[in-house]
Amino acid sequence: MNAFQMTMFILIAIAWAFMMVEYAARILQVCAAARWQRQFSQTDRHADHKRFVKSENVMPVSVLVPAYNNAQSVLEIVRCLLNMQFQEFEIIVINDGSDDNTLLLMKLEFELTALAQPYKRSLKTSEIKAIYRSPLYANLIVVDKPHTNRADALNVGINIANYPVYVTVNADSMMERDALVKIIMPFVNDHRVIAMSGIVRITNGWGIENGYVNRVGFSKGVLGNLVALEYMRTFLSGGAQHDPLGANLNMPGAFCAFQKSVVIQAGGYSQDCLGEDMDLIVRLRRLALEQGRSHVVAFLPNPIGLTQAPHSFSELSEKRRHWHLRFLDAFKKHKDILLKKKYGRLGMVYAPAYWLFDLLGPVVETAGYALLFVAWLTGAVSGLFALSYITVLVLFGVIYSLGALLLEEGAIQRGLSAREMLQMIVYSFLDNLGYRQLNAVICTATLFRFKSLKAKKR
Amino acid sequence: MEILHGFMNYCSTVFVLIIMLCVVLLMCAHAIVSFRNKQISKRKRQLYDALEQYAAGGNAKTLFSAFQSRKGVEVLTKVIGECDEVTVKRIREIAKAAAYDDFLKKQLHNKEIAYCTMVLKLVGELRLQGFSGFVLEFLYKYRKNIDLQYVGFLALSLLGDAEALIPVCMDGSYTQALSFRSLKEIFKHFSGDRARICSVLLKAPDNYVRRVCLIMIGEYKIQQLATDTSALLDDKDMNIVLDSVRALGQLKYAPIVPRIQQLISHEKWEVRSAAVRALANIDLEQYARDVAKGLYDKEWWVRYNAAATLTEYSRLQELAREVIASGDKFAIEILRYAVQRKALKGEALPT
Repeated sequence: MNAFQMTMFILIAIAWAFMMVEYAARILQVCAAARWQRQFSQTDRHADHKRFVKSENVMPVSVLVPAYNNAQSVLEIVRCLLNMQFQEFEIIVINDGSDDNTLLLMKLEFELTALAQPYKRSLKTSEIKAIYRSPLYANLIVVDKPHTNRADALNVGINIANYPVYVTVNADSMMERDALVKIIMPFVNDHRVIAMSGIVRITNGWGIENGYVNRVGFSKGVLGNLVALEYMRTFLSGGAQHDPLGANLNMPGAFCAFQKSVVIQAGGYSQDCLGEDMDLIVRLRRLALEQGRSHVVAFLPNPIGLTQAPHSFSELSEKRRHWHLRFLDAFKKHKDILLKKKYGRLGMVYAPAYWLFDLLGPVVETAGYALLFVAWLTGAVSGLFALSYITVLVLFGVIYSLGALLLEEGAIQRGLSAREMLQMIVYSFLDNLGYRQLNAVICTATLFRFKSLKAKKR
Repeated sequence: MEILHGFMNYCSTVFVLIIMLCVVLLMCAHAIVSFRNKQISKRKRQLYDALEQYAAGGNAKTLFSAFQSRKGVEVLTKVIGECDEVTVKRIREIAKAAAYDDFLKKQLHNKEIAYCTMVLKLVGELRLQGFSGFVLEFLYKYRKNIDLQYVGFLALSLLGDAEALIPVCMDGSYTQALSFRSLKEIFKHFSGDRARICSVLLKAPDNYVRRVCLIMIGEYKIQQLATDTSALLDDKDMNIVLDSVRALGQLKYAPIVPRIQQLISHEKWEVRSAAVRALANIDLEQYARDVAKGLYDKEWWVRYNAAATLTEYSRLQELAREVIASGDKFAIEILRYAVQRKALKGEALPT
């Protein structure tokens, strides 16, 4: 073995060891999540959702729906939200200067009338063109503004919001009818709660009517099921594992709730960061730590947000690139918390772990496979060795996916048939035979093209 | 390389075994969940059948025997959480007729606290008397368990047992860990003598308890406690002051009007806002001029509350002309908005 081959081998061995450590950490996550889920389900048995859903003693909520060119979905989403089971809530749709018929469709459907509504400008935002109200639904408000970005649209929504807690929902996502009461109850029970997220499920193949899931199904396409499995892993093992440690730094913009006053105090959503949701969570945590204020940012596995999986691989790669770009931008903005004692576990443990596994992980994985291929071509490693390398990582990945399925079975219990369960087991293998690697490549490419992609997004 | 390769092969073997174990576990979990769901569905059907047969003159004890088990308690709790009030009433009737309380009392000797909490919850839902002693015992024994505190207080409240609630609420050594909103919800369901419990608990050491009493006084119009309520207008806790103002407004307690008029210029906007609403509640026609002062307040919420209440004022047009003449942009826009909103809702405006 010459020096080049030796170098190649050492690099491959390092990449492999890194991946093994990452997967071991992920599997520990699943175990911790399972333990947490058990505790949660015991407490949740005593939750009095039925009583609170009709009670004025639950906090009233503003649901913010930023919409940009969502003509296809916006009416269905608003109708679904109007049917939520909750005592007092308002829906604020912020039309962020859509070029399509988003606003026109809403005007016609809900008979919107422009109203000179004064509001408190708690956050600095772009000017509002008009505020509309519906004579049909007293709790529906539609705001029209020139196009800027999602962060600005959400800040506008916060200014208009009348209630102490707000929930963000994307204009292509929905919630289950009882999701609002479930996500708000922690705010009712504990004044330290500043942000709360629920789980987002992929609903391709489900039967949904006005936000009521009448059939849990199975997507006909391969992609839908792969994404569904990935969401299970992300939310059930990631969110649930981070929760007891107080390490939730990232929350799904498609479905999370915030205490409005704390967000206003933190300056609202930042427009200079592409990952405005994650940026806000980190800023809220930093602010609380700097002020020495006890706070809770948590995750719950039972309020369920619903969204559709991408329908094609090109759509998936575009979305993935977008998500990773947002993620990278938020990390870059808050790199100063890394290894800073004053941010406690956040700075010393959680942020480094995110950097190591979520940012560096895909790069190491991609590099490992590329190096392995070159090493095999140059004879540095044998074909059998390369096969073993890949097999071990694939099998480890399968264990992780199966762990997520176990969590799903324990937490949600949505009555998949035995056949569907077997299909999901098969998808746990498929997920690790190309899909995961594809995601790693997209994330790596996004990292290397970060500057140009960010400039393009702006 | 050979060492690493050997290690990889070893890992592969171990992982394949783990995967097989996971698949077996998953299928077992799936089978258990399916079986449990079927069991629950079966019990639910049994319960609905029992209700029908009991209405047709069946024997309650025989019909309800299927629920004299842990699974039965779980199913009953679940069903009560899901079904409508009429069905719950029917379940209460059959449970009382079947002497279900004897069975539940035995269940409270179970060592698992989560299960006992569930039993206490069921006791409250079924309105089964004779459990207050047990509830108090649990409240003191597991005083740091928030779930148990909620369920215990709720059970006492649903049973309307003031004699059990008062001592625990007045006990300064008992740390009540429930949130204000949870406590408010619990007392909303109190079915006993509200005037009595409020008159005592207005002096409770816990501010949340006192505030809940003030809210009950306002909502249930407990006139005999108006004087006690007005004494709390000078309390150190701003929330107590706010709830007192609101309660006095709901009571339409005229003797306190001069004091509330003073509060319209209080330094805290929350108090100003509550004062505006309270005056409107007491007599809008008489105190409209005071309420209208709120339209010119520097805080948005005070202006909004004033405008929203003034849309009920019989001489609204005259007042609107005065507001326009004042030239105050913020007062004009908030009043216009309140009027527009009312019109949009299809509600009649004063002519």
